[in-house]
Amino acid sequence: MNDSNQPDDLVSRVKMVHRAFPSGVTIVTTALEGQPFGLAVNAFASITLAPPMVLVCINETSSTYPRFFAGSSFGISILASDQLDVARRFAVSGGNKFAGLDWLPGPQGQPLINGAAAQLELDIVSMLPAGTHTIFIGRVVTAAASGKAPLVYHNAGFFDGGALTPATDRKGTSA
Amino acid sequence: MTSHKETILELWIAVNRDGPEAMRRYLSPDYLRHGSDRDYGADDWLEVLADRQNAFSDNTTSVDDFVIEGDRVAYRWHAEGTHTGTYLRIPPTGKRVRAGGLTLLRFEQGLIREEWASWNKTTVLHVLGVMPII
Repeated sequence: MNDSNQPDDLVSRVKMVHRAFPSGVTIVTTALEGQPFGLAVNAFASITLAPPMVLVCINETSSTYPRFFAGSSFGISILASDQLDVARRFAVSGGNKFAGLDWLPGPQGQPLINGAAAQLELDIVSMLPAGTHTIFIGRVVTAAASGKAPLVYHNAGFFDGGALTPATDRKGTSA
Repeated sequence: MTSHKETILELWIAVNRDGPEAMRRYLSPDYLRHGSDRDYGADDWLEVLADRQNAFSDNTTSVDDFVIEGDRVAYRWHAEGTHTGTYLRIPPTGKRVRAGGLTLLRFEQGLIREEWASWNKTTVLHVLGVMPII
């Protein structure tokens, strides 16, 4: 058994399930008194388009976690396929992740990664603690998509979202 | 002899001025508080208040109304403070929060022996922008 009283074999099977679901890689950021903070998150999802709202899930053990409570807004940069180095930089804990990084404050002042596939700035609508993570629901204030191919995270590895081949059905017809 | 109303007012003036531990001398050695989740003895309850004081460092409580019948007192209160420390595992937001509630208590030999309390914790969490799922 683990800390959350789930059988270990169930946890490992759930991990396997998640490996069957590819995602993009986002860098979720906030700024406090002009200083940027951020971390890599792949638990990102769209909720609604009208009003435009998305969610991200952030682990409360992350050193950046408390920063998101001190402000009322945050930023999301969806990494492009040529930003593997940025993903790795933000996946580790501690240190100044923004030192030497190509980033700029967005129109609303949130730190956004230059060269990303897409960028959002959001006002926090609600924070929902759930187990080890908190779900941050944000209402989109600014949005930009660069058209660059996204970095893809799948089965614990990173892939080039611009090099995907169309799926085909049994008759060989492409999607 | 101090009336029950005066005792309650004096208690909160002392707590606002000196912190939660100032409440102890108003509580019976057999003090029991029936909360919404569980019962609290004096030590447990003062610990809850201390946690609240740490999270809302400028927190003050005011008593708004009383109904008194014999050894029982019902009073309506509100508290205000700024969220400057972790509260219910929520890191500080800097938000100004107002909470209110009702307390029914029973005096025994001039001390508070038993309390039943109800307050709007959900509203406080909403003001902080938080709604826990688990």
